Amino acid sequence: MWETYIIEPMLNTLLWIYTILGQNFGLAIIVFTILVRLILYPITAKQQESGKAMQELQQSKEWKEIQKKHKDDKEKLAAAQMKLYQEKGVSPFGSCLPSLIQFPIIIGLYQAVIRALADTPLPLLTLSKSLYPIINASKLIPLNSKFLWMDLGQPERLQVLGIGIPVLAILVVVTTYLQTKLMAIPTGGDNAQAAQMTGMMNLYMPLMLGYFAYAYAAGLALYFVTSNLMTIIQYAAMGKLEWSNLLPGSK
Amino acid sequence: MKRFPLIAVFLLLALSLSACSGSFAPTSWPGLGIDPAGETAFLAYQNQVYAVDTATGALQWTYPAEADRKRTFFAPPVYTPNGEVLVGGYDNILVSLDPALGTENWIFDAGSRIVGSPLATEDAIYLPTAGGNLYALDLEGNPIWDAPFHSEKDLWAPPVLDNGVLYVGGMDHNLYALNASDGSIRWQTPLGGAINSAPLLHEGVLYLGTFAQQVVAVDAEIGTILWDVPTDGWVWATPQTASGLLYVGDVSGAFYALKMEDGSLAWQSIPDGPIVSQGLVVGDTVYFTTESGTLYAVDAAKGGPVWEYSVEKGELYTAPQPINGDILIAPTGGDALLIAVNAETGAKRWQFTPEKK
Repeated sequence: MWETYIIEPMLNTLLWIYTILGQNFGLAIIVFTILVRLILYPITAKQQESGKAMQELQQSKEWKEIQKKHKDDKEKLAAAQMKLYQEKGVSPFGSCLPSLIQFPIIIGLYQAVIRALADTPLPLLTLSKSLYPIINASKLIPLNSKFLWMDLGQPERLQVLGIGIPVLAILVVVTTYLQTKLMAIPTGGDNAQAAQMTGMMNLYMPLMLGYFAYAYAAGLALYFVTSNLMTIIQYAAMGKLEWSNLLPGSK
Repeated sequence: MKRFPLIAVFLLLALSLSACSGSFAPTSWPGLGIDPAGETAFLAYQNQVYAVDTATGALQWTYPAEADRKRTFFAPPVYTPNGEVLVGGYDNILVSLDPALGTENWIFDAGSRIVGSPLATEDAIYLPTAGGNLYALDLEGNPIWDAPFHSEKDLWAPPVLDNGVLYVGGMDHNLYALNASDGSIRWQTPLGGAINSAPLLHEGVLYLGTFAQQVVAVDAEIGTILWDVPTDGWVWATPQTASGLLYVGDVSGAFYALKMEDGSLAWQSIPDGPIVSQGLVVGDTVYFTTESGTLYAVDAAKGGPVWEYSVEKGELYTAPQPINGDILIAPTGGDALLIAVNAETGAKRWQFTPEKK
């Protein structure tokens, strides 16, 4: 099922884009990522709405009252919060869903990229069985895995004076940090737990994705960078970027 | 505790990506070679090369003696005219071994992965590499040409030598004819699909299959295409010939007998799975294997079934080899690495299963 509904459609879409873009696999990944982000746009917009509703709820009088009332009983506090969520029609997971949807896409894309760039017999045999007849990919194989200075099937390093610099991994860290900072919704002033959580996410997410970009195939890192930039552009187009979060002292 | 969900997501994603990369799975199938006397089979698979007595299936030696995870071997070992065994590895090293002991004679660092076998003659060794280079070496592993021949994509196919001309197919879709003296190009013919097996040279014509789903006949002198016929899937292996027919299978799971003069179909067989390895013609019988793990023996003239043998576990991608009245097969992903099957009856004679350490 994973094979049929995730990997093969992604793989063949990538190969189709590859054929119409002059057999450039790097461009194919970029265009594919943009398409995915456009398809996910309604969910992204929903995430923004959910985040805003959550923010308003956490700054409401009722929220602050139950925090105060149940400050010594976490179980009662959780129950009261859940009740308030239901009353206000806010889903506490509404802003997490788009992030969760990303994971199968990341894994599926990685598998599709690795499969497309097969460079040994068994993976190549597997690739041959994953191709849709309409793609006519057998005449394209093996794919051109070179993009700029990178081999998209290998971890990326730009050689400068004999030193391998992981340029894409650095770009992933920077763009992920920018994305998380620019999109972070300011939490209520007295919600220390939420602020701490946001701070952790701002720190760990860029490092986590940066590690993946450093350790795995450059094609994945290219997806991360493109996806981050697309997200920032989408939020900018909606006028939802919080530029003030980049100022020193902001949380 | 607050960090647990994030760490869990990180570990889950890292594990998923690691599994996706297939870094722990074999990347090819066993390579099988036989000495001219038919006494020893040399099997290259994963981290070792095995020398196996073909009469009994007993292990004679392994190279390296202890498996080294940094070294992997899949290219079929080659027994040279001067009595050495050549094995290429994914560690870029071509090693010459003493066939009796498995000890090293010399090594050559090819600079990139060795997927295909070298061609060994009485004077020279011609080695294709995944870096797109074809090296000409003397019998002690020293380069002969000023520079290797280079193609833009991988070279997985062993070359064929005839009258001072090397013929080699590339993953760059080209079939090349090279001067064996210096590696210069005599002609090159684009065939529209990747070539990962050696051509069959027969009476001045090269016969080969490509990933463009075709079998092609090419004039060996000038490189023009004489005929090409479509197949239903990629063709991975060298066609075999007997009595004016070509035998070749494809990954769609069809096995074809084609007339050599024009490629027209003499007969076709649809076995139980994709066909990756080359067939084998012995007398009036053609043997071929399928990914589903079956060794088929069929009548060479008409394609009628003679017998079939299925392995208990694993797939069959490795080319079957004839030896002393048996057919040797090397499953991938099973417990047994080598199985001898009686060529007349299809009954198993012995199997070699390496000790698990």
